[in-house]
Amino acid sequence: MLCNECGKNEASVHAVTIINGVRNEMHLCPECASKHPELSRRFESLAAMTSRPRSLFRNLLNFGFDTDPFEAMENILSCPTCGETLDDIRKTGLFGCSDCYDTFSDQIIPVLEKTQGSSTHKEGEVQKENGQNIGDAVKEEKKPDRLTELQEALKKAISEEAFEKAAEIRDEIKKIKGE
Amino acid sequence: MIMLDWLKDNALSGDIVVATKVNLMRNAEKTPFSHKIKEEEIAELIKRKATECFTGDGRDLRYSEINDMTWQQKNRLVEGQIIPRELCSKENTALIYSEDYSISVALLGEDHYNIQYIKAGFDPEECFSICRNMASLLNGSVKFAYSDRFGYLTASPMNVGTGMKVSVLMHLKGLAASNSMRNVEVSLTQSGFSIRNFYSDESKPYGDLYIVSNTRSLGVTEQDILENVRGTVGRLITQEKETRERLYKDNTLSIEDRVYRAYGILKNSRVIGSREAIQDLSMLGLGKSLGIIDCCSQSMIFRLMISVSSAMMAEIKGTEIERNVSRAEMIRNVLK
Ligand SMILES: [Zn+2]
Ligand SMILES: [Zn+2]
Repeated sequence: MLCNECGKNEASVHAVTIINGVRNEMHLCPECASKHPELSRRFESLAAMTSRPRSLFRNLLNFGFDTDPFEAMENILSCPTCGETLDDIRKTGLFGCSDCYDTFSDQIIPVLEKTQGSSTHKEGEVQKENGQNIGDAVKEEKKPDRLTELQEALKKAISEEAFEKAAEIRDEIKKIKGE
Repeated sequence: MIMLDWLKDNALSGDIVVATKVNLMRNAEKTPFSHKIKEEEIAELIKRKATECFTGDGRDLRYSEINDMTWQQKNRLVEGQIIPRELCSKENTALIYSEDYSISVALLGEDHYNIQYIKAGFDPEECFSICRNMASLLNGSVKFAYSDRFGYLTASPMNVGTGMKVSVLMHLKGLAASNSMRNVEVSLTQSGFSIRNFYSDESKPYGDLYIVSNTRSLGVTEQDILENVRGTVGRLITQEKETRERLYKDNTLSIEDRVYRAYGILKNSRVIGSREAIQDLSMLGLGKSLGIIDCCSQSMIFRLMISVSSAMMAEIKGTEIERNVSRAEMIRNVLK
């Protein structure tokens, strides 16, 4: 989707504002979004929060609603990897995946500054052992299945004289075996 | 008698700190956090990687699915500080544990892996060193989610960075009796710690057991956290000791009276509820530390304080009254 304002860049900031009960959707590129001060997060005062870390985090991400009903808005930015929105995170107090840290870094950095007194890791112990990526491991386990599947498809393609397709399948088989 | 095996006596058992535990939270990289995993294969593989690592030949750790446990077993693990409550309400969760539960790894809870070591007495360094070795072992087969900016990436941003939590279970009878807990809480909060009650009943605390934990996990190294814990808990221990001595000096007769009354009830009752027993044991612990009474070791008092709760005793068959009878008997048998 293209940005509503400049019409040139890809829109990555999606916001819904409700002003005097009128709902208005905005889809903006980061550049245009930065020109809208009302889209920046507002945080409640620390004093109003409970001491439970989970709800503290939730409260810190909760902005707007009670303080100014005319400008209440709901941010629908979502994580490209896991699909979690800021609203989901506010409800659970949990991120959906490790990429959420990048997706929501603008929102999380001030929260971390407040709750942890820092937003940057100080390197101490590092586990240096090089384990496997779980996604790769799942693929690895599926490999024999996928190979049989492709070999079947290859036979079928050849018998149907669909040679172009057969070549494609042969390349894929080579790729899997070669890995 | 049901006793908590991880609460074994050791050289570091003291008058005030009941136990120390360290948790290290880790997640597999480029994989959704537990609550967002949709593919069964990924969930199974996350568990299997840990099982292969920790329960392989020569290592005597066990594996159990949380779903296969009875509610009594689950409650006992929650109250015994072995698993967080939320592990029980989720699908697919599992636990790897040593026979005495001192070592455990909760699987697919809030984070994929929550490595824990718990022991009696005050020893954050040893607890950490065991957890670190476990994490290294696991890291040999699973790549962890880590970024240079944020460190170890956890489902809750409250644990990001080191992914490390140190919790110290303390008996703060003196500070509680002198109404100082509010001040203690304020000063702990300022130094980056939280404190909560171990036992509470309709939100009213009892038993004077508290859990003190670090709240900062980011922007500090593991060694910084250990030093902060040692410093903060050390000061709290001193404060508690001084308060106990002052209380005793100012109210000698009434404290001795209350200690002996508590002893009288515990030593003689035939039926006793968990709350009453725990409160009397707390008074007995104070008496023992002040040298007023010598009825059993301090660590035995602590073990009783945790073992006689309703959750711990729920596995004993029978009615509540029958359990109250067993509880009274269990305590009478231990006290001299
Ligand atoms: Zn634009
Ligand atoms: Zn995400």
